[in-house]
Amino acid sequence: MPRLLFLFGLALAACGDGAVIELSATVHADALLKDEVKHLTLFAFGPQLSDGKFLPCSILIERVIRPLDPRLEQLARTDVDFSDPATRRVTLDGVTAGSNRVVYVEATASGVALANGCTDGVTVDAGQITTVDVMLYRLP
Amino acid sequence: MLSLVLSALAALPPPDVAQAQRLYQQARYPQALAALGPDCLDTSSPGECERVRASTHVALGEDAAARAAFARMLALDPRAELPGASPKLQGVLREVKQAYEALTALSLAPVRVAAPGSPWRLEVAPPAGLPVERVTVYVDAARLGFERVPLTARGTSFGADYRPPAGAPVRPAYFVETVVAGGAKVTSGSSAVPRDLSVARADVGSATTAVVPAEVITAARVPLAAATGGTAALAPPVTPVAPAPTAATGMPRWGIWALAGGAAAALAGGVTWAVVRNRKSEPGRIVVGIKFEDQ
Repeated sequence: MPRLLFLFGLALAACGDGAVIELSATVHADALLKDEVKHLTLFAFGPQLSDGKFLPCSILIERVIRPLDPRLEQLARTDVDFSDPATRRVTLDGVTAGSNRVVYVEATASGVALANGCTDGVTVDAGQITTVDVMLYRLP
Repeated sequence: MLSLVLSALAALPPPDVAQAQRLYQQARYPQALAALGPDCLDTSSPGECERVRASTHVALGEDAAARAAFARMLALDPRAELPGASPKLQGVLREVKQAYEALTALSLAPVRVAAPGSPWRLEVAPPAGLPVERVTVYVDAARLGFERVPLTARGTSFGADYRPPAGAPVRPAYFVETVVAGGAKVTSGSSAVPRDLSVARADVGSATTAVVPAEVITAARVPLAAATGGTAALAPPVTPVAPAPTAATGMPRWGIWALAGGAAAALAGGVTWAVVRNRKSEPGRIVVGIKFEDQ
């Protein structure tokens, strides 16, 4: 009870002539994406959806279609921990040879998707190694 | 000077397709085009690059540039589509695709020759919908290999006079290469699968201008005169010889050889197919370099 009275008194005092100063601040702590990412999931897809339509990177990047959608022809998948930022090259093994393969990468931390990237038109030759770069962009 | 230009070109950054896509979605069209750079050659996703470029040009109302980019996209993937795109974009792509498909079936008009030795008038009429920069026809008039014949524009059609090599034509064949505005190259036929060229005498009736099935010439070696009359002067001077039936089978000798050849070709084809199939079924490996936008 005494505490309530004290607070009431304090509130009355605040209604006086003295100007009330209100402060507000937003702190932006922009960590680098590469430092936030903990896990990468890489996929290789065939060039077409099951309905015969062409698979463009844009619908994966914009997440119109998700990587586990049954309409996608998944050729390979790899999951890697990204605790070591120096690990910048990841291998997708066992990709069926052919042209116009699509490589999609999703970066997460604690199960939350942080970024993604994609490249298409990848040609994979039988028994050969194809090297591509994928730029990861922060998800909005 | 040239080295300066080349080094400047080499210094250009490769197209950043994903960034361009984001800028396009933010309606920052000039910036999207800037992110794509002057062309889509130096990117691992050229089809996607051309798609974003075409969409951006459509948004800017630059119809010709949009069509050119769509044509280049179709040259990379003739079945490319725009799932989820606006009806306007779909409509432009549909028109370009129709024109593109028509170019893949572009054929020479039947050739009419006044007399043996006269030049052949080669003419094609490309469809509307895609502005054509140049047309080149590759002709194999006498099974001596394809000769390159650039055609020149005349109105809406392209043509040139071509003088075939000495000797009568044997199953003349050709294919057409069309370059549309923006650089996309479209071929109708190929050196491996050429199109048959119809050649006929101009001084005979219209019935002689019908396309002569090539098989008539090659399989039975019947002079074209027997089939068409009008093309007789252009056909090789082959004397029709009655095929001699073999005693054992009653089948003409050429028939046996044709069967044997066909069987050998089928066997070789089967072996090749099996080898190719096995090679294709062997998987490959993709090494993905991971990069971050804020690095």
